[in-house]
Amino acid sequence: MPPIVAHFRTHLRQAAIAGCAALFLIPSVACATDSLDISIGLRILLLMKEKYTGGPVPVAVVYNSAVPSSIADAENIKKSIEQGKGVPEELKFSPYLVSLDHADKLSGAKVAFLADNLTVDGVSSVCDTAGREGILTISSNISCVRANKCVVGIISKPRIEIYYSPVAAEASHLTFSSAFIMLVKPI
Amino acid sequence: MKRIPLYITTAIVAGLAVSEAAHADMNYGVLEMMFGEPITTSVTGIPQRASDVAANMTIITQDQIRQSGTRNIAQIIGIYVPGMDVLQATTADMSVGARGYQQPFNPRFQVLLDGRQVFFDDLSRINYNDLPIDLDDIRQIEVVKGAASAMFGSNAVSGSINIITYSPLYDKERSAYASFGTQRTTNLDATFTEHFGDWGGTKISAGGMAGDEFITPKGPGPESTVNNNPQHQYARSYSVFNLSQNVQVTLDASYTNAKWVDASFNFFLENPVWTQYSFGGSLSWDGLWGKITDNMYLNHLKGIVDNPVIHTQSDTTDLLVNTLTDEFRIGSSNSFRLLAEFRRKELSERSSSDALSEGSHGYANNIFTAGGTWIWQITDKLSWTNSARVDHSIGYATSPLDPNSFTTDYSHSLNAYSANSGLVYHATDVDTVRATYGRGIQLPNMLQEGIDGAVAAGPNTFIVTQGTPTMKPTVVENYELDYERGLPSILSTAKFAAYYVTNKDIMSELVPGNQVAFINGNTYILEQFQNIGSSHGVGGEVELSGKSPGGFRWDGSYSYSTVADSSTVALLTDFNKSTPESHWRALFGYTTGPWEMDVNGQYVTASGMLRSFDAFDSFAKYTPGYASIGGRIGYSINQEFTLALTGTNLTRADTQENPYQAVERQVFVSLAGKF
Repeated sequence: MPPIVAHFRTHLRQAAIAGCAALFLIPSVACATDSLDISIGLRILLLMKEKYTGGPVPVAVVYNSAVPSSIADAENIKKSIEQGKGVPEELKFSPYLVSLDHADKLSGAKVAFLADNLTVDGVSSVCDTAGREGILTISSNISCVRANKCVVGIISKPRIEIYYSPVAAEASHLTFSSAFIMLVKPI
Repeated sequence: MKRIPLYITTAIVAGLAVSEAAHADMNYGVLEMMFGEPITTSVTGIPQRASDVAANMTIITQDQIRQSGTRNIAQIIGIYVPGMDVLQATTADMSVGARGYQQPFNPRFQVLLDGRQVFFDDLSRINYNDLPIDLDDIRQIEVVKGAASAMFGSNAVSGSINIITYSPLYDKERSAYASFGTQRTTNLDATFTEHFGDWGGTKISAGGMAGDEFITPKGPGPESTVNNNPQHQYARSYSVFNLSQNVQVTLDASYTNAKWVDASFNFFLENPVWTQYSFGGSLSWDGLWGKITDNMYLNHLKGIVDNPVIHTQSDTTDLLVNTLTDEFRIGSSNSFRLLAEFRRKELSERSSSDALSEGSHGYANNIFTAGGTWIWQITDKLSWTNSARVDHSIGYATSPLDPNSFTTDYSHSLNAYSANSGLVYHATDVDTVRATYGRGIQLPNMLQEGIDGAVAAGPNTFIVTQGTPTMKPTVVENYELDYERGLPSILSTAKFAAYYVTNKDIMSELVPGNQVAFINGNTYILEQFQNIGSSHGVGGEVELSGKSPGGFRWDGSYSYSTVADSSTVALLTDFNKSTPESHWRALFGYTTGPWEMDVNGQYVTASGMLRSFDAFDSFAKYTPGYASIGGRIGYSINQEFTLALTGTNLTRADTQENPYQAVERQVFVSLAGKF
């Protein structure tokens, strides 16, 4: 291999590593939501002090209509919940899609899953609405929790970690069992 | 060795150290599914993921309990936990020891059932065959090895066993079980749970067993007449109510009645009959100051022991415990738990029929405790856990002393200090290292502190038995390094543990003292419990366990232990000989369709243990190594019912595992229902 090509490939590899690392620093992250994330997120409802008793739990799945992967992820989340994949038997759920542009449609939901490819800035208004409405916001993007916009962030690989924003929870008037608080990672 | 062990048996429930190791408000099932691993409060009192605890812990699940092929908790622990040895002396009598230091009435484990102590403080022991539990109602058994007194108080010096049953609030356990088998043994158990919306739930369990004692030889002379056929009945009610979003109440009541042949603390076989009641409850408030819980219960035990040498005696013990805890978080990295506790133990004993002075003797003990735990999550990968506890114990006689007493005043007090510290480092996604230190306390039991009586030992000769108020608690220090590695390529986990343990001021059983009195032509010889010296042990365990999506499961381990005693300890208890040097375990299971098949086996090397056949002699008796195999084949008839064939010690008609009765083969057919 000519030295110039090897040199170029080294730089390319370094750039790729740096780029991947940057993905974790930039708030907009591609974090496709898997069924384990959904299963964990829905179970959090069972650990909240406020018990929901009004029939099927309305679950809003928020997506960015400008990004095809976000739409696909949202549809995947909705489909998983409808099919009951990993869904807790104790509750029934009624999922529906909400575009970032229509935050008003969050009204009535108890849980909002944030789909892939949403920036923190982009979800700001949605999270503000969710806070006012007392909606539990869940994301696979931890930066949303770090920004105190989302209440809960879930990482299921390689080890399950649940992050929790007390600030966002307080803004949404949501409270959780003490065991849950002791087990999650507050930010 | 010549001894004249005067037996003053009593039966009692009492206790030293419950710290509400189960959280009634904790939804174990949901949390386990969320985090992909069991959740426990056994190490710190604070809810933790099993992989995060700073201790060597094994959690036995309900599936494993079912697959074990036995209905005895001690045997289940022996099957699944490396380094644990079970001393089965008769059909129903078992003692559990960890890493050696085995003896009848093993006093070195603290055992809790949903946060209530089931350890008996009269002689520091646990009757594993007389617990008010339906085995199908157990969610998990959490076994911690190593000194854990800072969390559980006295006697958790080899570790602790926490039995967690299904929650009446979050689980809807409804089950029934019946089995029939060899030794004409019948087991019947049932549990029924009812929910009251989201605000409460109640669970009722009841059941029992009856069978024949092993027919293998007991001892020569009067011991051969000891022949209680074992039986056990129990009932328990457990309720949890949410009074509001932040306030929860629990109520717990239980009853048991049992008889069997047991191996006593001074190496006899005897016929005990025990009846016990317990009542308790807790109130917790989850608010601005964290989660504050007050947990209170009363254990009452009455026992009658028919011993061929010492004759009949009866005793009553009451234990009242009130524990106040507060657990809270400060910032994102620090979790705390503060504890204040009061406990009162009271013993009332009736002298034996041939005693010099018949009548009641009473002794009481008040213990005031303060303690705390701090978990510091230093980084995402590194945490440091620290616990400390101080017990202030005050003991005194509650009735006039025997006129022949050498000791004129039982009033005394002592302070005991316990501590635990441990680092947990998740080095990579698959590697975890734990370095732990534990300082455990074994306080003198109630007879060691407060016994008072005299019996005839010959013409004009009497043995006066008395407690030793000045006796020091045994201090056990455990140093341990554990390493755990996930091996995803073979769907397994490997665990390695190495430990070094020291024991200071070991307490003896009754031994002749050096005081003799001559009054009116009679000779009175004092017999007391004593601090007899020290001992240390070293060893470790290696384990490989795993399961495949295809339904296979496996678990194998090797444990090594060796103990060195000081000279008097070697003479009077001989932990060196009672510790088998090597212990191999292997389990293999397979589930396919409605079938579930499991086999477990173990090989234990030779050991020796002191043994008494009459009131005058005890001597070390050695047992060669032995192998045993057990297992279960289960078939699910439909969604509700499962038929199973189970067995223990299957390879031989009987196996001499220890100096007591040879353990016979046992085979059962069972029908279990889940509704």
